[in-house]
Amino acid sequence: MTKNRKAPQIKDAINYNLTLPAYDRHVLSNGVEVYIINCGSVDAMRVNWIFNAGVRWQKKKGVAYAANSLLLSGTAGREAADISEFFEFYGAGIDLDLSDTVAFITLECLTRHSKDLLPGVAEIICNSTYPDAELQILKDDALQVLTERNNDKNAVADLLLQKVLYGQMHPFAMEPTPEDYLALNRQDLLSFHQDKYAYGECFITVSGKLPVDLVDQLEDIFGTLPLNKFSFDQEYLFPPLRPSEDRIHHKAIDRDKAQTSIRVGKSIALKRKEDYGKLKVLSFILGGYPGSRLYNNIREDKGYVYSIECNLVERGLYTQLTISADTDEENSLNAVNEIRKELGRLSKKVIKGTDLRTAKNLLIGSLLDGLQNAFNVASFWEYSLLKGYDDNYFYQLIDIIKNVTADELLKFAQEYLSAEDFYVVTVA
Amino acid sequence: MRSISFDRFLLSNGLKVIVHEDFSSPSVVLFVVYDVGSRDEDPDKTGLAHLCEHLMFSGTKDFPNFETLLHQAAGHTNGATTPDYTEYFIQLPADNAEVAFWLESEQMRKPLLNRRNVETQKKIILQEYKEMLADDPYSEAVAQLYSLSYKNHPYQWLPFGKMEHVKQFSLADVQDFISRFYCPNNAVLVVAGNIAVDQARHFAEKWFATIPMGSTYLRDLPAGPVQQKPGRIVIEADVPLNAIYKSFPMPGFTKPGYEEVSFISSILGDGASSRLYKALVREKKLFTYIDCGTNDLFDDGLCIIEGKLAKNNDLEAAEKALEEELQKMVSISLPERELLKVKNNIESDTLLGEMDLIERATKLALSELLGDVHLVNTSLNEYFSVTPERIIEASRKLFCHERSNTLCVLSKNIA
Repeated sequence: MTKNRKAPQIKDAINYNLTLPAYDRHVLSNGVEVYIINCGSVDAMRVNWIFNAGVRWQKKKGVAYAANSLLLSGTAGREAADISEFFEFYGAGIDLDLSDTVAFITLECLTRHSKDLLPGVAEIICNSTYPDAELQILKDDALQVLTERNNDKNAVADLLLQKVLYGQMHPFAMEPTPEDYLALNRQDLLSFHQDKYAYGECFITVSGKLPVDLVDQLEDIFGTLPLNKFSFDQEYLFPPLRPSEDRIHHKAIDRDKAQTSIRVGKSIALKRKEDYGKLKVLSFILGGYPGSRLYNNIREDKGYVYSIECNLVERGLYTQLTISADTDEENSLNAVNEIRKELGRLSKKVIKGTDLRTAKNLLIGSLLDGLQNAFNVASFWEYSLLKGYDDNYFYQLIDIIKNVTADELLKFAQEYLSAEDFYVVTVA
Repeated sequence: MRSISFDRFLLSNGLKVIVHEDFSSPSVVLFVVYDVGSRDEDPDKTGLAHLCEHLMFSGTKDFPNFETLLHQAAGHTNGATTPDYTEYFIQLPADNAEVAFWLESEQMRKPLLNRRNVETQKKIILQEYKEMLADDPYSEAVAQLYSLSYKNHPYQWLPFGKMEHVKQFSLADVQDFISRFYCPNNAVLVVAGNIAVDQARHFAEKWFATIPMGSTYLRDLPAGPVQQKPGRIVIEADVPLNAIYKSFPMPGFTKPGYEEVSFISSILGDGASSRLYKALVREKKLFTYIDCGTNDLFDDGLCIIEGKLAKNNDLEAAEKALEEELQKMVSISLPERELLKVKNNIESDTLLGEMDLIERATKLALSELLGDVHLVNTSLNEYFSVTPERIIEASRKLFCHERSNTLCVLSKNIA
């Protein structure tokens, strides 16, 4: 850099005041709550219908998945091909998804098409018929996917980690088997659909640049359906955990391809509400961005991997921290050792002030980016509502991120993130 | 009517600068595209452009901790290499906009290149390649389709290049490549977001104007003779299902005739209501997956059809059925509703995509790179003026058997 140009001053993002756009809440005639985030400059919108129809509600394995996946497979008035044609004609995207607790129907479209499209969604909520032919296709596809996944080291590593963390027979570690899929029948799905969709508990979020008569549209189309108010305060009771006694697990599935998939993970029962914010900061420093400790050490310094990341996922009352990487088999032991070293470092040494400040700035910066997109804002509100947090949760989380000290993080790591407590799974 | 606003100016060293103001955003994006891609590599040094892209993140001579400084400013960065160009972006809070200009200009001016970084990034690229193969076992098949379809043109190899080339690269190779192509007169800088054009101009002049011009690169790529007979190869691979790939030459991205083929590919393969999906997946159950798309390359493009066969299905019968559907594009008239569906999809994809500031910056950069930044707005008009007659005429030219190439992939895993 030449002498004439001084480096510009860097302003810390942790000094910013972030504002989460608020929602407007409306209750339809049938008690279904609608959370509306009206912002943005593009004439597009997203509507999310969230049902109490997750995996926890099924009485037979695979039913929740099939009932959700086949929502577009036919109604009393339309076949699957007609449903695809209906949504795709408008350039709309309709997605289906499932978690442990809830199921999603998500529509993204141009705002001016909402009046045409919303009745189509009402139809699949009320009148899905699950034709046998479509169920058969799902079964065939599922069996094919299972076959492929058995040869996919990453998929095998993911599942094996769930089993060692929660127990072989725990719902979090159980995926439907081929026999489970073959045992599904149309009546299973129809019953589940009636109970959990057509007459189910639902709440709706709408985000984007919205039509002025949105509430009227929703009232006309969804307010008269036999849906019920979503119970946000239901407790999810699941079986106790039975984690493996061994911390290290190795499986060999394909020695021809000399790559090893690595998972290092722990399921954490956080004791205090503010603990999540601290965990978020620590997992970010560990492996949440290019420039994180795992990235700098194991990728940039040693070249063992292309991607390495640290993620947090909530499973019931637990928060699971997982570190994932792929490497050559000859480097896998070294890579695991370095991961453990980095975990150990969190509990042994106070994070340097500049490093902590950098991570906080970046974390706040990424949250700031997210806030400019109405759909992201809606996702945050959905998360907050489903967790039962109050409307100030976002600001409480920001406050923790901004103000947590290096000493507090060291204590937190010593309490929750001891390297010896982590499970290591390698699949070669 | 949707329109992306911009201002454009040129620095004295040849750097083209485009500014797009968006005061509703809290961020600023700096998007730089260099007019160099894998098509500009020597045939015995493939993958060099991609290696250089990796190395541009290794820091600069004065600031080896380049990314740490960016992170302190709450910014993030990434890049990508394509056959036609190499792109980089920085996104950060608007308050720190000048930091982006500073760091991006440092990167252009004096990237840090040393033997250690070169050797480390080579190792990382080898890992990246293995991860790509693990994620998509068909990716090597796609590479073979390209080498079949582009016999003399450098598009015959993909940006990853050949790993045996990558392993051999030296510091001198990288230094030579970067000094040839990474100069302001070979680049476009887009500034998008919460920054006024005057401020952007001031920062661009301050940080970029003193970077010396490089030599002018005159692209002179071999164009092969027009193919006279269909190409075909059959390979065996460690993939789950048998697959068929077909490629058909088409005009380059935004060149005359491009939009018509874009329509054709959407009608044939976009979504579960597309013609190929309805006929070949749903009705005849010959395929479990089928797609039709355009590769959007600048010189000469390809319309590519990819189909994964249902188990135990006869490859010959599946291919015949596929070809029958392609011929229907030529011989059966196009309903107005089908045309309108494609237009709705184009509009929806455009608007939803452009909610993202980086997407808008990318479109501006590529339009400028293609010779006219106004394309960012006029190209949508081109789509909406396409007629059924033009599509059918374009289908006749496109689905010419003699100019097609077919790759059949036989799975080693099916008994």
